[in-house]
Amino acid sequence: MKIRVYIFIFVILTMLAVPQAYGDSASTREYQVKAAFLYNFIMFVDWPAEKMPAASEPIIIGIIGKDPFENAFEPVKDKQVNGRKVVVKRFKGLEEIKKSDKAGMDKEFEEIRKCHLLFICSSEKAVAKEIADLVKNNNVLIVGDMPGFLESSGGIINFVLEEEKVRFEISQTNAEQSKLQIRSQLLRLAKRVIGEKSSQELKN
Amino acid sequence: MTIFRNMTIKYKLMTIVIAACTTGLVLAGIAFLGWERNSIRNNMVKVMSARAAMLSENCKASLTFQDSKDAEKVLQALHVDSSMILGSIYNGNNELFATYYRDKNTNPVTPTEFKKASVVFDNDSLIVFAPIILDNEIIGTICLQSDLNSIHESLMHGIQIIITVIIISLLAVFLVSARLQAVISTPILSLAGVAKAVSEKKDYSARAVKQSDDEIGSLIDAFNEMLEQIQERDSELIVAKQELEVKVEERTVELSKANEQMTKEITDRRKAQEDLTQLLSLHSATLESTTDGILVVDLNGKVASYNQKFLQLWQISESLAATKDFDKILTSVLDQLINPEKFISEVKRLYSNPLASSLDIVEFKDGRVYERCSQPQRIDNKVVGRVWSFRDVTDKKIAERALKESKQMLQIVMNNIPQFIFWKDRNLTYLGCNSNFAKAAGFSKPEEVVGKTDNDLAWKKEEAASYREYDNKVMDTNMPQYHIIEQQKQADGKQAWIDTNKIPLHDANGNVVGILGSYEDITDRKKAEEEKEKLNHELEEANQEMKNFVYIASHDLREPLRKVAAFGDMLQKSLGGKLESEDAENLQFMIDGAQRMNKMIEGLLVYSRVSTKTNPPEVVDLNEIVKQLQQLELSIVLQEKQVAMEIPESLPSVAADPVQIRQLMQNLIANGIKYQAKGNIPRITITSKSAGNGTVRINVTDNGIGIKPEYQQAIFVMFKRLHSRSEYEGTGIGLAVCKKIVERHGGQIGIESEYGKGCTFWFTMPVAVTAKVVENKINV
Repeated sequence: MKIRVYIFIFVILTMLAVPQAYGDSASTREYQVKAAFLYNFIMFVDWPAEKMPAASEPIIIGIIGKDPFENAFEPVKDKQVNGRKVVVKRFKGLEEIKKSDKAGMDKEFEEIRKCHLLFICSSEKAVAKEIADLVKNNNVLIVGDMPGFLESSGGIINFVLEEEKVRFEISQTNAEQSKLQIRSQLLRLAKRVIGEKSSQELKN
Repeated sequence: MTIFRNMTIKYKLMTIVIAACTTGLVLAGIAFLGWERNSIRNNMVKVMSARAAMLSENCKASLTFQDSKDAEKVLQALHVDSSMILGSIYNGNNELFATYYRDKNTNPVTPTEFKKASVVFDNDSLIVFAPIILDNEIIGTICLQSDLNSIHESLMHGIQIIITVIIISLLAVFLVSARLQAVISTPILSLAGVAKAVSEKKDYSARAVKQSDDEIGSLIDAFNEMLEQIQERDSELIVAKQELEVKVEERTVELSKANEQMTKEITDRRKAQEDLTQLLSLHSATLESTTDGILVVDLNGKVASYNQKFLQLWQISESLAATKDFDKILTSVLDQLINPEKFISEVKRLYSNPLASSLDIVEFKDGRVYERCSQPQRIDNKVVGRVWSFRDVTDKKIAERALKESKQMLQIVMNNIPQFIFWKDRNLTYLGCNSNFAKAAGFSKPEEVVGKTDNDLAWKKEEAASYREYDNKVMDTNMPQYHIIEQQKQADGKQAWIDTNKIPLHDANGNVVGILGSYEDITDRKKAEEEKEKLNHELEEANQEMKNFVYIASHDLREPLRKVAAFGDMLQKSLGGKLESEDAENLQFMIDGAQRMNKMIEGLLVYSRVSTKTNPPEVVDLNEIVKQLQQLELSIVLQEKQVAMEIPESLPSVAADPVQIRQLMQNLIANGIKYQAKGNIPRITITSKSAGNGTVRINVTDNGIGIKPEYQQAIFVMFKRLHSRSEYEGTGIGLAVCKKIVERHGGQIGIESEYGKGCTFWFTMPVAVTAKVVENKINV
């Protein structure tokens, strides 16, 4: 009899647990895809030779602001890109960095500028332009997921959702400013490309 | 192969050369085609692999960013090459990511298949797989499928070229070999020609001409040398042959003589053979054509011959008969017989005595009877075996038995009937009789009568003469005589009356050869008849006297009675009221008694008249009778009592005395009217129906008082009355008269009644046969 009671309790608990597991799975999956995309962008973007680190050095992905990825990088953690390791670094929000002392702030900014790819979280929406300006001359691929990110915030790649699928748009103009070469294959896949000339070339 | 073997050398040479060349060319062609096919395939694989690599490079990004539409766009480029059937891209999990089809109904390759190899040739397509590698990692697979039409076309083209080359080459070979074969074939052919000429013309002086010093040259030398030797031997042979011919001729003469002798012998033997065959066939036909079963056994107990009839009658199987073992056959059939011991002892007796012959009867259990005949078989007076024959005599035996039985039956019948039976020949000598006759004639047994004549028997001389007279009459006229009533003085002294029938007896040709007589003793009958006749006569006389008496008596009785009545009346009138009331009453009694007496006598007269005064029967219409009665005799009483007369259906006509039938109807109707309850209106109904045997039944039904069952028979007795005079007046004679009338007409009379509910008087009367015929005639 006791065993039956345990089984019953177990079944009830399982049923209660299921909806919660499903509840956050959609956004988790979205950010898992976005995390994979961040890795993949690296493979279709060419940085200037001086920016590319030595073979032993890793490629750095920076995430600034309130991190929405949680464990999304777990599946791609050990993946190598272009024969190099990839390191994910998380930074506090800009306002919070500014609150620390000058030396700390500069040091933090320096770290940010070292990044090859910088993901600006939507918590930094208000200061996104400021962050973009901060790394403007450092060949950083600025990625975000907020509306108008390319036009007003100086972003290069912006995630958008289309029919629940993760797509992205690219600002060729901003990329050129940061001296990054985005491969035509990537441009072809973008939902939208800002920078007339390049998109025309692609279509031909 | 035989065709080739019989070819001339010239053609053989050419065939060999052409065959060799053909083989070489074909082999070369096949090798070329094989190499060609291989190289085309390799080339195709290379091209396809390159194409796959290019495409995989192009769709890396699409795969990475999961954009299948873009990948499909890339694959769409395949349509440039019409040989491409299918292009498909699978992601890292081997799930289909994007496809291109040339035809809509093509199925994409399933993932398990492409793990096997990167290049797959199947019957009509080539499948190439290539991994899609991005940054040293396989992120998917591309699969291209192409048909092999281009390979097939190239190969067909190659085959055409090879065939053309072979044909041209063979033509050239043919021309060259036709010319060059002459080098070898010409000397051989000329040698063959010489050899043929030698063998045909027997001209051994001919010689072949040598043209070269090779193997053919030495062959010609050898041939010529051989011819020389043959030529020498030939001349020797001619001499020997001539000698031989002489010898052969001599030998031939001898042989033909021997031959003639032999032919003669053969002819004789054949004739003997034919005779024998004919004899044998005659023998076997005879054996089979007889209805007898025949068996021939030799002295060693071996069956020599038998016919089918023999097997059938003994129910012997062919296989048993084929053993030819007489003992075996014998034991197998014994249980069919009623008396096998007798059968076997006879067989033993005959075999211990080879010269004996026998004839006996063999009876089977199933009722068949056979006559067994056994005779020794002799060749030149020497006994070599025994012939058994079995003849079916079942029918004969049955007939004999039946005849015997029927004779016995006849004897029993004849000796146990009361009749006397005898039969005589044409000379009236007795041939036989039954025991009754023998006894009457004075003998104890019928056999003792045979051979006697009537004069030797018990009857009187004049009786015998009378019998013989009748006998001769019957035989002479050939007509039977029946019921000859005559007398016979019998052996026991009785003088009998007999009633005899005599019929002629015939032989097979219808000639009268005798007479058969039978009679019965009618002495007692004769006596009884005489007695009866006497009694009848006496009775008739008495009856007549009686009738006369009754008539006269009643007639004469009426005279004084009428006087009593008449003078009584006169007295009553003259005395008027002078008499005392008692005296007047007494006088009235006297007058009434006289009147009643008168009525009774009248009734008796009527009654006696029924017997004495009868008219022959006529056709009487009952309807007419009833009508007359209503108008005349019964009119007063009918009116008085307001009687309802009903005749629902027309009555028939009867054959009767019209006066008496009128009396009968009158009495019955009057009777119905008379016996009524007071105040009841009488109703009389007359009906009729057929009573069978040409009679009709008439019913007279009333609604009167009816009659109790116990009196129903008594009412027809004379003077019988059921009621007092004061209740119903009557003499008690009417119904007696009715009964008398009906009985005189051969009918019956009766009554059916329920007491208190009326009654029905009925009588039957012969129906008039001619009446209707007469009526019909009138109508016509």
